[in-house]
Amino acid sequence: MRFFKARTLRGLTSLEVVVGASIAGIIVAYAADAIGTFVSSAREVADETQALYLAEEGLELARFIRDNDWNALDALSLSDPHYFEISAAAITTTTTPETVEGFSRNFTLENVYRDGSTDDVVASTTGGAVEDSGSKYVTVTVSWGSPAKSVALMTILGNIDQ
Amino acid sequence: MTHVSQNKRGFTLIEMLVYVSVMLLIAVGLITTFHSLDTVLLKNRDDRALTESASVALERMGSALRGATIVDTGASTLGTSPGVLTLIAGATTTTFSLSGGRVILSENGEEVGPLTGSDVTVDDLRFTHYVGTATELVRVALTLTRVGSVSTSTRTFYSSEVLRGSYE
Repeated sequence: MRFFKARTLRGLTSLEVVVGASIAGIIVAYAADAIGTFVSSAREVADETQALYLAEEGLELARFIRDNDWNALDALSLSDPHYFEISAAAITTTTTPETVEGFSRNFTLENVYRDGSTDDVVASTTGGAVEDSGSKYVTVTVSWGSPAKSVALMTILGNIDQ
Repeated sequence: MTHVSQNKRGFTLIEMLVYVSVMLLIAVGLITTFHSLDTVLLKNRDDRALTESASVALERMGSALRGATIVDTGASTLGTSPGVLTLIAGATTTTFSLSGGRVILSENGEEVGPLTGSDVTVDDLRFTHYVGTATELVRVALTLTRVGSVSTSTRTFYSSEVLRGSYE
């Protein structure tokens, strides 16, 4: 009986080592995984800051194009991506995709609908909605990385010459 | 009694080898984990230093640009780096320049202080001035480098603002 007990005790000790090592292994594996997530999230925050500045800049570039000539915006097709072309002398729009520091930037235009009596911006499907020919809904999208991430900023620009 | 002595006989060589190996594996795993954690924290600090300095400088420039009426082109260096931007808003003249690797803010000719931290270096500061038919726009390109203990990070930030005071 005593002999048997001693054997049981020894078996348990080896099992403890295996269990202990497994637990430690699992902890280390999770820690390594957490560090991986930590690395990518920190990089993501910095990338997103850079992308947001580019998106914000996009809205200002669209505003500047509007200030110069409303028709330059008004003549562009709706829903399709358009791109900025920034030369040393002028800011214009182009059909060639723009890439800045590894970030792709485009903008799209949509019509703006307003309530016939209050002039509030409403959805095009709302009853009594009237298309506002002097306004455009501008969305600037900046995307980067793989898997792709993106940020988008929107505004409504109006024809200030009207 | 013999059983007790058998129980206290200590470990065999094989047992010792197994235990020591397991302990070593665990120790190596833990040390590697802590080492990479340290590297990550240092890299995070680099990225944070860059975005913090860039944000402060660009936000300050953005607010000055939006509030400005005109760019004093005579007192500015435009299109090249190191650039100097002098803005006029009413009786206030605001100047952004590059000195000692930092963006310096001056108001009415008096230096106010640096906008970027001492932990980063501004490699390139470029202002491009666009004069449109109705308004003016200034594009700022700011390249910052952070030399960290484990790596060197460089990022270029862009910002453009229409001078709200330039609307007629």
